[in-house]
Amino acid sequence: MFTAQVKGSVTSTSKHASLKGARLLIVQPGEPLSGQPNGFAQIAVDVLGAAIGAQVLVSGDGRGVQDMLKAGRDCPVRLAIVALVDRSLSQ
Amino acid sequence: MYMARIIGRVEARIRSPGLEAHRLVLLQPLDFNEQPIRWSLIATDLTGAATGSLVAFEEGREAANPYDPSLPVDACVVAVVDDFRYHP
Repeated sequence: MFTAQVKGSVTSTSKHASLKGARLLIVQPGEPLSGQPNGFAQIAVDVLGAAIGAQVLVSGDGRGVQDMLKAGRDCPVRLAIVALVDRSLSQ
Repeated sequence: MYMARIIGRVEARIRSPGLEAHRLVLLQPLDFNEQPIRWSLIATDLTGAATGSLVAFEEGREAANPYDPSLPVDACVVAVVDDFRYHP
């Protein structure tokens, strides 16, 4: 899993059925402690209602996303926001 | 998922069983300033989007999930991007 900052959203009507109604957010991966960007921005499914600018925890587990979206095994999504981060501590 | 532009397609007469009926699209991954990132790659396509379209594609095991029986694919276009709002 990695931490990221929500930087925007994506709208799509023509998509795999399991994504119907799913919220697609743009997440910029960043270092947990410094917030320094450390990867390319991607699109993740969000069911927690993360706001733009929020720091979030992102996971790449497809099975988890299927349960989150109550979707079947044909759901082709891997990346999803699994937590809204309050803060990261170094100890 | 990454965003990408469909920049072409790949024709291949001899393929693994099951892969014959599937369109192989050529993708250029993009950041949200629509600048190219990573390397281009090939994916199967669930949406039938035209060349030049902005799409979102998934990679890894999950990319093969929509296919039953399963296919040996690790990248698949799962959505056409109508619009996006990006606040860097």
